[in-house]
This record gives sequence, structure tokens and C-alpha cells, in this order.
Amino acid sequence: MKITPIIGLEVHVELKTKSKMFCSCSAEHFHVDPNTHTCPTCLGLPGALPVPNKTACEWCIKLGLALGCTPNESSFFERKNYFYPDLAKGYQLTQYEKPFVINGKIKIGDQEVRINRAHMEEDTGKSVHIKDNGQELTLIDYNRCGVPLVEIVSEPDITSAQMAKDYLLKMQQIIRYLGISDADIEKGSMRCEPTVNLKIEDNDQVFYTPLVEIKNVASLTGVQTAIDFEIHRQTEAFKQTGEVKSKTNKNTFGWDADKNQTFLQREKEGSSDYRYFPEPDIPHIEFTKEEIEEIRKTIPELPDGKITRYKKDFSLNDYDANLLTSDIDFSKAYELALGQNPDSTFAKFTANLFIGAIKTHLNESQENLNIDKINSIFFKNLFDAVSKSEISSTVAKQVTIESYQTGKDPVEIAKSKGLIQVSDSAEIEKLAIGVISQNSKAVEDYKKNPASIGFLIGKLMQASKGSANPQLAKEILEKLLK
Amino acid sequence: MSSSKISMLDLEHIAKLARINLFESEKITFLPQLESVLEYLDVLNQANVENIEPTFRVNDQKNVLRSDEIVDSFDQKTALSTAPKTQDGYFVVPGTIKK
Repeated sequence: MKITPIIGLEVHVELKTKSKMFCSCSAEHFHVDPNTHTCPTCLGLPGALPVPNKTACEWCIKLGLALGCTPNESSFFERKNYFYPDLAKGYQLTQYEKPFVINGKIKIGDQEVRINRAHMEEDTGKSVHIKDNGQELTLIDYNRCGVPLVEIVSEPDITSAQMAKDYLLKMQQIIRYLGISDADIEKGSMRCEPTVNLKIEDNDQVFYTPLVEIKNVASLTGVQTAIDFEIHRQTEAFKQTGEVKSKTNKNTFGWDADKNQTFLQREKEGSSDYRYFPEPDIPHIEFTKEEIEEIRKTIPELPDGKITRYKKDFSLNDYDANLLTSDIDFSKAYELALGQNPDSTFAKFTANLFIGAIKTHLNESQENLNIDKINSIFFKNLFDAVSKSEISSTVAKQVTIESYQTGKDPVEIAKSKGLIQVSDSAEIEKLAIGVISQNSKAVEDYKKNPASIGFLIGKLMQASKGSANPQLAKEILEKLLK
Repeated sequence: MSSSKISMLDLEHIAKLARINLFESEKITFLPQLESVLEYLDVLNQANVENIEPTFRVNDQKNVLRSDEIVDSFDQKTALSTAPKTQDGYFVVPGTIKK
């Protein structure tokens, strides 16, 4: 029996526009007093008229273009009708027949996941469930209701939980590069609903298990664990019941992160139950070819392009290129430090400092990168000092962090701390003569066994308070002891 | 829908989507009423719409958009003023999670 998981992902991303999607209320809703950002439109009061946020529409198209999608010539909003208290007007404004963009793709390693569509819609309010004198109550905050939300629907091209996770990370990275959302899964500004079923091949027969959509997954690990759980559950269910996919047996399962298992949540309303119809209060939206090209121009160089360029122009390896481009601000800071037309030695040197010093420092201190603290001249000075053996690479890392913190020239820091390597032969020779005269036993040992020179080098380094260039020290000692 | 006949199951399904609880006696009253409404609308099905693009709008308006700017919202008191029940700045509704 051969089992192939078939996984599609619906990703919802909250855009970080200033105002909501269809009204001018602030879109801020995290740690805000409940129901302080509402108006007749987002409360669904009679007679209120929705007017789409132009920036949100443009960002949806921008994301689509970054994912290789084609914009629809004409788009419109539709009402998705269902009654639930987190959406006061009884329908969600969304796009169904004509989303802003369709047919894109995203590269995950060597594989490709097709994107069916990215459409614009509105978020719902937040519910808090409480118990009051034994009665179950739900408290509703409409601050989030009407916040712009983009839904990105993939084709079911994902074949494992790991690949689903990689897809989400890649999507998150692209969205952050575009600067249209924080795409923070833990904070809920990026949400994901996997749809999972299995293709089972058994003795020349092929079966497909019923589709299951998983809700309430609130972390990256959760997505992975939930998909793996569901693959296992469906395999076992098929062995027991042999039930296969039909038009009517798609189910919605919730994810219980405490028990690490999925549970049947509700029989999902079929799309015909939502009775989609065009929103009569919002005219069609058409972006001209010129406007689309203007939006395209606002897309920065994306991670895949950057990685290729770093490898080609700076001769960086895959690992370094990936680390440097993981975050757009980090890669911007790196490029700023490189200045104009860096050669590959300098680029590699600076890459090591960014990965070995700055990233480590940021991780340890939990600080965010401050690009204003990056000074190209400082990196150049440091590079020159290390090239001339004035500063060791260990010291370079140390002073890079200090320079980042204080805004001082790293070479000056090294000087003021006495960390400059002495590469002055005369001075080292003076120290070497002293070391030889005071360590006659070690000198004898050396004459019998040249490998024991380490002891004398150690003494010399000690005498120089660590500032002597060790390679030069070794050479001078050897010369004197010949 | 070429035939307007709907079944009791359809009626119950529609009621469920609309979150309306109906008594058996009401279902018996409403079923023929709903059928007659649909029958009346059936006249639309007689029109030949082959090769005709659907009309979504009756005027040529397009691109009515607003710029991304914040305008003052209701204060909390106003927002909650028409709610039958509130608590700590929230609207209160019957519990939506069945345990």
C-alpha cells in the first residue's frame, strides 16, 4: 500500500495598513481597548456603505505579482453569507469569482507549489468565551472586524508536513520582504488552514480519502504536528472503514494543541450554502496595465534573487547566502556595510562578521537590528586592519559587536583596548630574546623536539599581553634559535 | 433551478443556515409559501441567456476607492449603545462554543 499525502494550504495574512478595509477606522487591534475602533460600516449598521482601501487592494496585487500571479483585468467583491456573531452584518465581504490575482507559484527547494489565487477580504471580530453563573457566554470585540485580510490559496501540491512548514516560512519571508504585513503566526497576523487527504495505491487500485480542513492551528510546529496527525488518522480510518472522498464528505476538524490531536468540529457549509453574490454597494475595480507595472516596481529584490546574486557576485556559499537573506532588514544592513562594488574577499569577510558577530549578538540580546548603526567605512577599516594582520579575526568579531553598540570605529576600539597585534619585527625580536634568555630549559627541549616551540610562543604572547602576531612570533623565535 | 419544488429537507437546511428554529407546524405552513415564491421567480428561467454575459452592475461606475487614512471611530460607549447586553466593553452574545 503506497500512501501519498495531498495537502493544500489556505493562508490568511492581515495587512498592516493604517485603516480598515472598507471603512476609515484604525486597523490596530492588538492590545487595544475592545470596541474602540468601530463605526457603522464595520458594526454592520443599516445603511452604512463600504468603500475599499486602495492601499490594501494594491498590496494584495503586489503580493500576487511577487508570487508570479496574473492580475484579473476586472475584480469585484462578493458577499459570503453566514450568521456568526463575530461578523455583525451577516456576511463577509470577499472575492470569489474574480479575485485580484490568480495562477502563481512558489519554489520550495527543488519543488514548486502552484498558487491558485490571492484575494482580498475582511477579518472578523474577536470572540472571548466565558462562563457566567453557569451560563456559556461569548464576548465580542469588533476592533479586528473589517481589518484587511489577504487569502492565498495553494493548489494541493504539498506532499508532507515538512514541505507545508517550508511553504509557510517562504510565504512569510516574501510577505515580510514586501513590507505589507508582520505575518506573525503566534500573534495571528498570519493564519493557516491546511486541507489534507491521502492518495492510497493498493494492488493497482487508487483511493482518495475524504478531505479534511484543519482549523485553529496557531504555530508553525502546530501546522506540522496537525498535518502529521491527520495523515496518520486518515490512514487508520481508511483501513477500518474504506471511506473515500465524495462531493459531500469534506469535514472541518479543529486542532487541539494541548492533546496534540484533531477533532471533528462541524460539518462545513458547502460553497453553495454561502450564497455568494456580487456586493452591490462596491463598483468593480480595474487597475490599468500601467498601474500594475507601477505596483510591480515597488517589489524589492526577493530572497531567491538575492541568494543567487550573493552566490554569484560575492562567491558566498549557500549557507551564508541563506542566512544573510533570511530577513530583508538584515540583508539590507549587510549590503549597506559592503558599500559600492565590494570585492568577494571583503564580502566574505563582512558576511562572517554579520553571521558570526552581529546575528549572534542580536540573538543573544533579543534586540532588533538597527540599520543606522551600520557604517560601511568601519567595516572597510576593520577589513584593512585584519588584512595587514593588525587585528586577529577573533578580535575583529569582538570589536564589531562593540562598534555596533557604541557607534565607534572598531579599529579605534581595538587600539584603545590594546588589542592591536604587534607585527613590528624589531619589537617582537626584543621580546623573543628576553623569552629565550629566561627559559633555557625550554630552549633545550626545543632543540631536541622542534614541536615544543608552542611553549616559547606562549611565553612570548604572555610577555606581549596577547598583542603579538603569533605567526610572526613563531617565525622570529625559530630564526633566533637556529 | 428548473423546478421550484423544494423538499422538507431543503426547508430545514435553509432554516438552519438562517439560524431560525421552526416548529413542525410552521414548517408545514412555510413550505408551500416558499414554493410559491420560487415558482413566481421561475419565470426568470424562461429567459434565454445563452451567450449573454452576466450583468453585475447597471451603471458604469468603477474604482470607487478611498486612500488609507484613519478617521475617528465611535467611542466605546456609542459603539455599545444599541447592544442588548454588554460587559467590560464587549458585546455579549449567547455562547458560540458548544462543549
